[in-house]
Order: sequence, then C-alpha cells, then structure tokens
Amino acid sequence: MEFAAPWGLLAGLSIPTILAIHMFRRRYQEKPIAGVFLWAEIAPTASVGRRRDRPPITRSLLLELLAAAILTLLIAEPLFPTEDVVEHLVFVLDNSASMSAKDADDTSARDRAIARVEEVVEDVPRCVVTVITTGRQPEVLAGPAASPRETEQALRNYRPLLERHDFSAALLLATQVAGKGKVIFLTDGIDADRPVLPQVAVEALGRPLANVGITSASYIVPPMEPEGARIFLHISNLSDQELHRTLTLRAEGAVIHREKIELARRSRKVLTVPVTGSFEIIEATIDEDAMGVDNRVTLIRPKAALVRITNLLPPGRSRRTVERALRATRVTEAADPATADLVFALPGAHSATHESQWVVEFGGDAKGVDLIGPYMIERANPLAEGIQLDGVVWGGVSQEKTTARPIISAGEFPLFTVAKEAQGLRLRLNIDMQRSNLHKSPAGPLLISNIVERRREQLPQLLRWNLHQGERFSLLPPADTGGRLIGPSGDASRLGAGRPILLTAPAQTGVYTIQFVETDFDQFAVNFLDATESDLSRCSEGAEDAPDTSLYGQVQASYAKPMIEAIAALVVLSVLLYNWYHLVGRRHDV
Amino acid sequence: MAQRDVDQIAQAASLFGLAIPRTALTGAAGENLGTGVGSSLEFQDYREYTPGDDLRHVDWAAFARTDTLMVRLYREEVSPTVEIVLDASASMASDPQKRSLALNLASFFIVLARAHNSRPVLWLAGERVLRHAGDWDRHLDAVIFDATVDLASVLAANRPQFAHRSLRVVISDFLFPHDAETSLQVLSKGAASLALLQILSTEEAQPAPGMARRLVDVETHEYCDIVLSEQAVATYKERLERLKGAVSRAARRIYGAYSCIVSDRSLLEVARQDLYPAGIVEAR
Repeated sequence: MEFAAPWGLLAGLSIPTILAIHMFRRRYQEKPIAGVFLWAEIAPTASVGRRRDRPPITRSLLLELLAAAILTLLIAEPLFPTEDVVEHLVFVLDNSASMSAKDADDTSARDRAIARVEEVVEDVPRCVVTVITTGRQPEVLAGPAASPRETEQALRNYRPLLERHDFSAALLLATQVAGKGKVIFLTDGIDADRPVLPQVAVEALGRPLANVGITSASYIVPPMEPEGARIFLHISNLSDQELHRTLTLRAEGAVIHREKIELARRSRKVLTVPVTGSFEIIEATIDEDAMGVDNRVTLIRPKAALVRITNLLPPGRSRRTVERALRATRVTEAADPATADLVFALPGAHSATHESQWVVEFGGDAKGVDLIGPYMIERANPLAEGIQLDGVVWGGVSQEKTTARPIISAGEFPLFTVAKEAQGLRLRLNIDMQRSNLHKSPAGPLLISNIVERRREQLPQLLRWNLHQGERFSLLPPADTGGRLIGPSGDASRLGAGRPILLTAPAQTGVYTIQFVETDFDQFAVNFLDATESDLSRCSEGAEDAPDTSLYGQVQASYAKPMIEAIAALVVLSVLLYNWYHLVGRRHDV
Repeated sequence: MAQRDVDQIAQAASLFGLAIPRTALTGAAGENLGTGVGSSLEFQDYREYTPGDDLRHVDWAAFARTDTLMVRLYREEVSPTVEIVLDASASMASDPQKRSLALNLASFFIVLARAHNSRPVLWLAGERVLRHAGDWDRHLDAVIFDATVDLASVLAANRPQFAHRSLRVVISDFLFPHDAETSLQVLSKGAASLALLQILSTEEAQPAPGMARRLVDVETHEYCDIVLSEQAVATYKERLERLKGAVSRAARRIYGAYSCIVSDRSLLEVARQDLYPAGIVEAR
C-alpha cells in the first residue's frame, strides 16, 4: 500500500489523543439516587481534577478509534498497487552552456540530447519519463513520471546556458527518483574525473569545436578619478588554431571602440580600453562563433559608494592620523556632522544624529596607563581585519569601566570598543595618540580603513554591479520593504524582505533592474565568463553504460482505491449516533 | 436484603389503630358505621314497612300507637376497605432502610386493617399495578423494587379499580417529576380517606455536602455530574421542600393526610412521631 498524501498519516496522532481523552477524562464516582431531577442544573460542574486511569474499553472508545484510523487513511489517500506497471525512464541533461554550442551542421549537443531522449522514449512502448537538468540546484524539467507527450513539450524549454558546475547533485537526485533503475546522463563530453554513480549511464553527445570567448571583463572607475574609467577584457582563443576576432564596444546605441585582435592558438589577450564619457552601460562583443553566450558581455559603470565623513578631532596627532588614512581609502567625502555617515570626534563631543551614523571617538586619559601588550584582538570581527599590534605602544589608556564590546583589549583594559547606541554606533579608541606609536604602525591607518569600509558596506546601494552567473551578493535596501527584480526579458520576480537582502545572480545573462516601491533603485549585469566552459575542444561523443544495471526502473501505472470514503462515512456516522444516544440522549440537563 | 420486622409491626399494631375518618364509609358489614342502613344497634330512622323487610325490625310499639307498620332503620355498620398502595419502583429500594420501612408500613396497615375486621387490599405499583386481596405477607416478601416507571405514570396508565369509599394509604417517595394534584386525582377518586406516606432515606432527606459525584437515577439512569457543595445541597433541599409542600397541599385539598417519613427510624417511632400526629393512626 502506498499513500498519495503520506503527511496525512500525521492525522494518526488523533488515535493516542482519543485514548488520552478517554484515559484522562473526568470521571466521577457514581452514586445511585432517587430523583436526580432535583439535582439537575443546580450548578455548573466544577473541576475535580483529572486522574489517569486505564482507558475503558467502551463501544464509544472503540468506534472513535476506528473512525480516527479510517479518517487518517482517508486523509493519507491510500493507494493499492495493481499489476499495471510501466517503465520509468530517468534522464539527466547537462545544463552547461557548451551544450548549446553549434557545430558546422548548425546543430548542438542540446539538439542531439533532446533527440536522444525522444528516441529512447519511443523505443519503450509503455513508459513514464523524468528529466532533470543539472545546475547548482538541479531542476526537474519534466515529471516526475511525466507522459511522453508532456516530456516532449517540456524539452522545448531546455536551454543550457550555465557556467561549468558540478553534476553530482542532479545525478544524485536522479538516482533517488529512479530507485534501482538506470539513469541516462546526456552531456557533451566524457569526463574521466567525474565521479561515477553505479546506476548512471553516460552518453556524450558533444563534438570538439574551435571557440573564442570573452573570459573576463570588468568596468573600472577609480573613485576619485572618474576620467580614468576603463574596460578590462580577457579574450581567449580556446582552439588549436590561430584566429582573428573584432572587438566592438557599444554604448548608448553607438560604437565607442572597435579593434581587430589576432589570437594565437590557445592564447589569451588582455585588453584595456579607456572609456571617455560616463556611459552607464557598455556592451562588448566579438564575432559570432560556435558558442554565442561567451561572445558578448554587458558591463555597468560602477558607482562611487562614498562614505560621508566629518572629522571633529582637534588639530594634533589623532586628527592627522585619521586624515592620512582617509586619503588612502579614496572612498570618502566631507560632509556636515548632521548628515555624515562617519564622525571622528573626542569622547563625548558628538552624539549620533541619525540611526545609521557611526561616531568614532579618539581619546584616552593623560594619567592613564601605557601598554605594550599582549593585545587581545577579536579576529572574527571585520573591524579588526589585518590588524597587527606587535611593537605598538598603546598609551594613555583610561581605566574607566565600560559595557561596550571590546574588539581590541589588553588584559582588563578595553582599547577599541563598539557599542550600539539608541541612535547609530559608537566606536571608541581608548588611546592618547600623543603617548602612542600607533600612527607609525600600519595598524593605525588599517584600523581607520576597516572602519570606513565596514561603514561603506552599510550604504544603501550595490557595491558590485557586474556579476557572474550564480554569484552571491547582498543588497541593503533603502527601507524594509519588498522590491522587484526585472530581468533582461522584462520578467519580474519579488525580492525577499530583510536588511540586507541576499541575492544570487541569475543564470540568464543581461542587465537586471532592482525596483523598490515601483522606482528603479539600481542595475546590475550578469555575464557568462568561464574559460573552462568556453573550451569546446574537450567535447566528445561516446557512451558509458551503467556499471551495475541495464534496466530502467518501474513505477505503478495505476492504483486501486478502496471504498474508504464510504466506510469512513459509515463509521463516523455510527460514532456520532452512538455518542449522541449515550452521551446526550441519556444525560440529564448537564 | 432488609425484610419486614414482624415483631415491630405487631408491637406497633398493639399500640395504634387505624384512624377511621368521620366521613361515611362503605364496606362489608362490620363495626364501623357506613353510609347505608344496616343492622347495627344505632337507630337511624323509621320508614313504612314494605314486603320483604325484616320483620325483626318492625317497630311493634309504633304499630300499636299509629296502626301503621313501621320499620326501624338502623345505621349500617360496615368494615371499611383499606387499600394500601405500595410504590414498587426502584427508587424505593435506593436505601435498605427505606425499603424495609416501606414494607413494614405496608404490613403495618394490613395488620391494622385486619384488626378492624376489614379486608385489606394491597396494590403493588411496579411496572404494572397488581391487586392482592389476600396472602399479603407472601406478596410483600416477594416485592422486588425494580420498576423503572414512576408511581404517577403507572397509575395513569393502568387505572386501578379502587374500591368505593375505601381508606387508602399510599406509600411512596414521590421522588419523580410530577404534578401532585394530577397524580392524586387517580389515588383519591372515590376514596373515603387518603393518607400519603412519603418515605425518604436519610440521604434523600438530608444530603450531606461532599465530593463530586455522578448522581445516577436508579429508575431512569439519567445522571448528572455535580459537586456536592453546600450551595448545591441547599438548592436540593429547597427543591425537595417545594416537592413535599406540593404533595402536602394537594393532600389537604382532598382532605387527605400527608406525612413525610425519614427511614432512619423504627416503625414504632414512625408511628409515634409521624403517623399519629398526622391523624393516620390513633392510639388504642
């Protein structure tokens, strides 16, 4: 017996519940009297406590248990297998972009894979089919246990375009679906290093092809030098022959750069193209060849994510140290204290003016202690990333107690602390720079740089605009409201809630737009940049049969359904009538 | 099972006699004056002689004075029919003392009736109403209080043919939902007198507060779960008093006697403390 809704078996918990109710139900000691009518409706029955007792084997209990058992079965929808079984064909289709590469006949491994599936299905007179595509998260393209007709329709949606990825998740899923039957994995090359699953028969349908692809691309705009914008490209010849290509850069509908490239066999050309003009989107293309997806990249101009800074420190070593470090980061701009993202000030001189403002206090105690270590550094905290304090004299340390969380400390003295305030964050460097040598150590500017970078990460904007397929990134939305992601073909999907939102770059290449409250918030581009996958010379044809089986799995084609609904209705009705007669009909006004 | 206490019945019967009402009776010739003319020594009236009259009753002196044959009419002397109606429903045996007292009372009134040269009739009202005009002791000993029908219902359904102008004694607990006046119509119809003896067990008369109980009616098997709190007991007593009051008032309206008897005492004490004050028995 199988169950169409096995979760429905949870309803079986009602059986122990009924037993418990009968066991723990309130029982009174019976007392035979004359004239019970004189006692009726005198007062509501009061609780006399519950006592556990052996469940009475009453007709009511037995009927209720029977009804619960039958209703549980009813909810779980039992299916009784019949003799009618069919073959279950399970296919795994390689979803990597090389499957789409076209050969001289203008056919691809994808086309051959579809044809192969249809051929196998046609050879098996009675079958159901499951088709799974590979990927970081495998997807069921057809099925499970779809009809041949459904499979044929589903295969039209098979468009392999992923970068190189691991197939094992899809193969594992397929073997689970197939039970003990065979799985056919259709790919474009026999990979000797691929882990072999005993049930999986591999059929390679690829053909080695010459290919040139853009294998790396970036759009760089130095934060403080917008005029220095440039495009970096890697163009790789992944064939054993010398090839020529023309690189074209287009922006706003016009060609902004074009050049011919000579590519030696198995070579890579690194190109830097200066960009004159602040183009938001630049498209780089090379001549079409076997694989189209790597002939084109779209790059979005990165935006300057500048941290607004106010330095309220008085002239002196502390102020100079901060200014020097800020200049080195090149991601800051001056702002007034009310709107600044980051304020450097003496202890107690400034309070955060808005929720996202960080206040960094520099100050110790002229009568404080001077320390030379050992220093305790909380390495897990990104504020302490790369900090080395060997040889640093941390002078003028105040001995006042604090409840702030220490990031750097020495013994009982907290030296660098973080505390969340009602508004914003307060960071405290418990130091008198006049009595320290921190400014001479790399740790000084690095600490300030870390503070600036961490604050920059909190800015409500993207920090990266050009992404690979499947690359994970985070986004700090302007408010805690749901947003939308509009894809290159105009299809929209909802963004999750939360701050920050964690996203994965989709597989489809192109430009994506993020919207919040129907307003464009930012854009990012997804590109296919994978030299390994672009190398079509590794593609081959061949087959490896499943080592331990040559049989397909079998599934039940139909199930017998017992008349459980009618039986359940009968039993439940009996319970109701019985309980009504015994518990209501003979009970007097209570 | 508690049975009749013959000694106690005999002792009580030696001290008390049946109180004969002043209203006219009917019955077999006996020592109580009936409504008709009879052969007792108490002169009632004259009337002219008609053929067939007993010549022993001709007043010859009056014939000498008036030359008319006159017949002396004497008040009929009757022995009244005493009918004891015993409720044989299960509630009468809810307590052994109550059962025993009910049997003793029935037996007591049979003895009293016989002491008046009356022929007692025992009506056992169980599932049906059965009439027993003899061999009363055997019938009383065989009574099984197991009927699940209350007295009013069984009387209404069976309509027993009570004797005209009889003395009726009804022994019941009257612990069933009923309208007292309607119930007594059947019992009082044609009776010369009616005595209602309501027997209650101690627990029925004076229930004590206590734990929660499922109170199950011995006749109907209806039940109620209840905590026997002070308040609940007080409410019960109030209802019981209302029930007793209703039976008592209904009895008074038909010039009957009513006595509520708690079964925690002996027959002798009951006769002294309940039956005698209620005028149902009289001292010998």
